[in-house]
Amino acid sequence: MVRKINILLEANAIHLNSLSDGFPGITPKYGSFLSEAAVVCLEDQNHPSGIRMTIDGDINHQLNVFWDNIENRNQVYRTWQDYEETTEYGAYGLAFLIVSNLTDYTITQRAMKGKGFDYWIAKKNSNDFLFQNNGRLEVSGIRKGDNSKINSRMKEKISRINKYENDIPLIITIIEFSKPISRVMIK
Amino acid sequence: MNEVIKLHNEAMGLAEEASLEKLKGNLSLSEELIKKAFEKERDAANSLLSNIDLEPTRSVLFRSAASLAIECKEIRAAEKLIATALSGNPPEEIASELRDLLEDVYFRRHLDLRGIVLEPNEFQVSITGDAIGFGVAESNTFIGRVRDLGNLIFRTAERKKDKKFRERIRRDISKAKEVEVYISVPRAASFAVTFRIGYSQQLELPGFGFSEMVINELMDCIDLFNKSEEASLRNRIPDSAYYRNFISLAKRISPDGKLVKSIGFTSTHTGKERHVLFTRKQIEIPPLILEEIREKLKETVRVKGVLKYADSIDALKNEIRLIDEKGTHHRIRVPEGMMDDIVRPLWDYYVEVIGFRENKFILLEEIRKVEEES
Repeated sequence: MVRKINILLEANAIHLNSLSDGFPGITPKYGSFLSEAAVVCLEDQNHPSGIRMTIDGDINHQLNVFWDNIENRNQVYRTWQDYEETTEYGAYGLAFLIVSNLTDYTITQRAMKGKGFDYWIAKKNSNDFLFQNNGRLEVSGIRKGDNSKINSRMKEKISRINKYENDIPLIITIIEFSKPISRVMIK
Repeated sequence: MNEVIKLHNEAMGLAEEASLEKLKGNLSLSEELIKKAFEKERDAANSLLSNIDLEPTRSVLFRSAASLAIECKEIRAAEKLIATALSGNPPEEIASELRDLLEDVYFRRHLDLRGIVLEPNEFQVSITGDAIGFGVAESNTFIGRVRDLGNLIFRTAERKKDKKFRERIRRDISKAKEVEVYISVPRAASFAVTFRIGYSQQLELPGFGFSEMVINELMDCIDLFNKSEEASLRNRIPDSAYYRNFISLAKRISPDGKLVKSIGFTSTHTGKERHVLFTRKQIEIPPLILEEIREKLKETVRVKGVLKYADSIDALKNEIRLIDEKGTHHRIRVPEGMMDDIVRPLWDYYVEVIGFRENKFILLEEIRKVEEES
């Protein structure tokens, strides 16, 4: 059964600390790690809490992104030393909040794919069995890049997905932290 | 069915914990957790063994279990799980991911050291592709890559010693002798050789293996290049000459996707085997254009012709000339980092040059051998 992803534009702000509440497919502990990574990426670009993030592509919106001051700052920054890894985790954190706040879908499942997780999304409050009628979420993070870099990252994701004829709903999100901007494609 | 959900959720919880512990540097705890996650995910997947049509659930669980099996080096178990998933009716997209995973499993067999014991100053390079048979390889495909790898090791050693990039290393034999690169007799694996780094004794500090550090650095950089993480690579190699040299050599070594499909590196680092798979195709790697050049020059130039003249006597000149089919001579400036390792081996060959126009010169960014056009 094909289920269309609907866009909801009610939220005007997201709070990174809310990732610590978890999602049906994410534990609270893991959510707070993603939140830390996202804060590190945004602070690294000198953004204050409350920074306005542009969402474009298939969703046109703006969101203020808030976070609480990091306590044990030294420990957190020691954990997130790997630039690329932090960017990817931070992008996932923001993507989860964008999907759950701006669409009628949420993160319901994860599975392993290669060395990382593969995230699956479904209608909020759905009771479908594992991965049944679920969609997929593809996320990529760029710490600092121009529009052409965002476009080429999106193209790369789309070209891989377009090889397959299927009706699995899909959201692709490229998160760029310096502006910050999130480009979203919904299938 | 509730038991499947419970097992899967427990497995994913453990896998999450494992990735968090890995981030904190608790590697042995992370490995333990991954092993537990694998066992639970395998049990969850096997519960759906006969539910052939419960897709994509069945194939996603088997793929997930196989990925965890690879992480905890249960390669044979991963192979079986992938085969079971593919024997059902997975959606095309998941089937393709399963096949990618299977390729990964098979390539890991080639990375296997097969009884060879590597010393900390050694690493194995294993090549697969249409030009490679079991224990035999097309000489041109293999020899060029071995020479480029030797240069890459040498340059990495020099960089790690904080030496300024030396363009004419071949002429200064006594200095070049500080680092020696040895290569073993090839063996069947599909086709594998061992590289050994030798270093003058006084530079090998007690308790700290310089050669091991060089191998580890080389593998880190190839891993980053393979993942297209050029920003991280540039942070790691801030010197433009070394960076340009690394990118140009790594691009020449990279698989063409047919004759050479993948190149595997195996080393022992801090007593543990380490593997890096190099699968990024040459054709997918864009020309190297450093930011500082891009800002100054806009017009990209491509010319083909025979490399007939090279002048690097004057360090400021570093000029080559290309004679195209019409007999026109093109004057090309070679930036630091490219003359000895990249340009010189192409002397007298038909090549393509990509660069930027700068007055009467073309400032070289990339040069590669091409088949002569009839």
